[in-house]
Amino acid sequence: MTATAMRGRRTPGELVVSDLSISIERQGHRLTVVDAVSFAVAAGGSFGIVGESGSGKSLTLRALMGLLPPRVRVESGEIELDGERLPSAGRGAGRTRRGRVAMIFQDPLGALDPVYTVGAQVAEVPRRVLGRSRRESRERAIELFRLVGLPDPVGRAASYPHQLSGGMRQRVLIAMALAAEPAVLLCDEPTTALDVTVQAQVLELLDDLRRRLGLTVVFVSHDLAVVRQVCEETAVMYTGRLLEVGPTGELLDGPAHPYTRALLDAVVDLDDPIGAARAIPGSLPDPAEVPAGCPFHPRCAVASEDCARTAVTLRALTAAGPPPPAGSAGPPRPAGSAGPPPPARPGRSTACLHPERVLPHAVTVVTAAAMPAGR
Amino acid sequence: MTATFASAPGGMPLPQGPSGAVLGAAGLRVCFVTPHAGHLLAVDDVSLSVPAGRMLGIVGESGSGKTTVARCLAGLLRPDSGEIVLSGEVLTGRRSPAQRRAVQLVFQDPYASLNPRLRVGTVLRELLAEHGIARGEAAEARCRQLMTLVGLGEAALGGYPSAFSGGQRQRIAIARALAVEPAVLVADEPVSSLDVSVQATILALFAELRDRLGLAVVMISHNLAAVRNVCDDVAVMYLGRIVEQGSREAVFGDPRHPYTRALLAAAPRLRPGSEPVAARLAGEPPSATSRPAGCAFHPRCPRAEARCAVEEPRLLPVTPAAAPAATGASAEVASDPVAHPALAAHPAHAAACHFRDERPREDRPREDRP
Repeated sequence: MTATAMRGRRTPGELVVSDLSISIERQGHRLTVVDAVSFAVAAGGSFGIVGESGSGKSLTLRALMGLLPPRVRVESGEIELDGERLPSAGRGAGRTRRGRVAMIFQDPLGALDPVYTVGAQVAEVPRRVLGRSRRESRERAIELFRLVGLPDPVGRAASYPHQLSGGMRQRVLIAMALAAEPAVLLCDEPTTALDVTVQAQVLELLDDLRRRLGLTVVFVSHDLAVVRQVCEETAVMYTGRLLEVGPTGELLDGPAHPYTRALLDAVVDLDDPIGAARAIPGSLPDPAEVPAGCPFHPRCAVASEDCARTAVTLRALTAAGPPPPAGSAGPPRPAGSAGPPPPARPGRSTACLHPERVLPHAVTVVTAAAMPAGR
Repeated sequence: MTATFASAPGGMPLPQGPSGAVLGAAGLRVCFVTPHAGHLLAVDDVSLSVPAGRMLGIVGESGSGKTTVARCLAGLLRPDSGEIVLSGEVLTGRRSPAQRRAVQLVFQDPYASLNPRLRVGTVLRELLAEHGIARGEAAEARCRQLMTLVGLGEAALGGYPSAFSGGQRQRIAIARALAVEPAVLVADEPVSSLDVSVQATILALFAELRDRLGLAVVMISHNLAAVRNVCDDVAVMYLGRIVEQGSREAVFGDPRHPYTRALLAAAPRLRPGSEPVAARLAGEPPSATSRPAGCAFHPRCPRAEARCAVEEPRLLPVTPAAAPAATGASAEVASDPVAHPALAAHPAHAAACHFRDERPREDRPREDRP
């Protein structure tokens, strides 16, 4: 089964996003909602984007899919798949992604047509995208249903969406997304509408499929615990900017940005003492009123005066080792090329001026490529 | 006014005085008739109680009947049988305006439950006038008081719902529910549609209202962490029945039903590896139209034995962890049915499982994933 799923025009699926900016039109003005976002996902890797609603995470994902809503457009930046630039809009947007990039959504019922059987809807993809015959496509749909663990695949193929449970519908959507043998699977909160027991199964399935098929997965969620389960690397997004990027476990265990810390503290977790969760003061600013400097500084517990003035971008995070002698309290100076650089924390970067205030001994250095996987 | 539970199991007298339950239900049963699948027993023999100043959490998967219970409690749905008791009064037939006011609902989606064309102040003033609570200057004062109570400024009264974030809208929805001075709040998934960053504050608001106003709160949620964080008592539902109930400490600290343990194991956590030892659940909840015989959970249960498919376990008290007693059949003989829950301010820890007194390590992993 794996072998058949792998055939076709699959490419490795390395995804590189550089300086992506997206704007939305509101009352005649264009507001920037995604601001110079860069990240890279290795082929077969899984990358999570977390943030509050309105942070721009879903729009980033939709830009990857070339499916931005009306009045929203990519202002600048590039999306590359295996070195090939993907147009962000227009007819080319669909053509270049066809069969290579697929997406699953939060609401599986809304994404299925109620008047066709799910088998017919899944079979349409190989027929249209890969030019298979009807019979082949039908067989392929059943094969896919088996791949995603739908019980009784043949019987289920004849069901209409309303006859399936939420978990089964999400499996159908995953089957549909895989039908064109994509290299990249984009997931927009795919388990938010599901029960915890079913959520656990779907997350396991996604992880299993990624490993078996070598899929590149980009996963957007507001749920840090879910991201921890499926993503190797995670980016934290706020007001359209990435504030922190790093290997998921490391980032959640030792965040190097106060916003990440605040998000973690706000989570009502089963293992925390009761009442330990603390909400983040204030609320996400409107895109028209993003504060100058670090966008998080008005809500930040450890902000300094610098934070309101200095615009920050992602900078590579290095482990400074044991606390350096006195004088380390000041902001780290971007050292020149002279002197041995401190050992780098692979793949970790933060947009905080004072990462040491949340992560002891943390130091950032400005590098040409502060991009996580750019090194 | 007192009432008797003529039909209640045990036929015990109702509690008197302020410590008793504000809202109780005994033997609730709701049956829906569906066009294709016949009868669907959505809620079957559910009994529960919420005293003033306490919060009861009802957890379960979709289809477990938890929302149907909430709708019965709020008076939106009349149960086919069973009784609902409000402040010692059995509710039969149509509720009086005072009874309707006493139980208020807060819905999951504050975007959908607020009229986008009405300013917040207009909504509240209309309510206050309609129920004859306050008019004119008194109403204005009450509106300001409500805004303060839910942690919003007075300026919020002039805004339309669209001007507020999700968390703020949920606060407005709570203010609206509080406007008519209820004794009970029934909240159906009140934080599920909110960002993680504000869930904690809305939960804290419910806890604060419970403590300050002495409200009885019923919180329906599939989010175990949310329920654990604020609820005093917990009831776990599966296919229309309560399969485990007890205090928060009992249910989360010493879960006795394999379903409760599976729910806890499936919940995503920030620190992996801390899940309790229980096998992941396979499959999805069966439909209530085709309820499995015996224990309804047995087809998915890692602990199930042959008798589970035949013999339906009753909701019976568990032996406290400190004194592990005999298991299985011998325990059955010794136990009486749980005291009528509407009578007990603090429901006893009880589970509807034949093996409720076994320790969790005896859960065996089951390899039947598709």
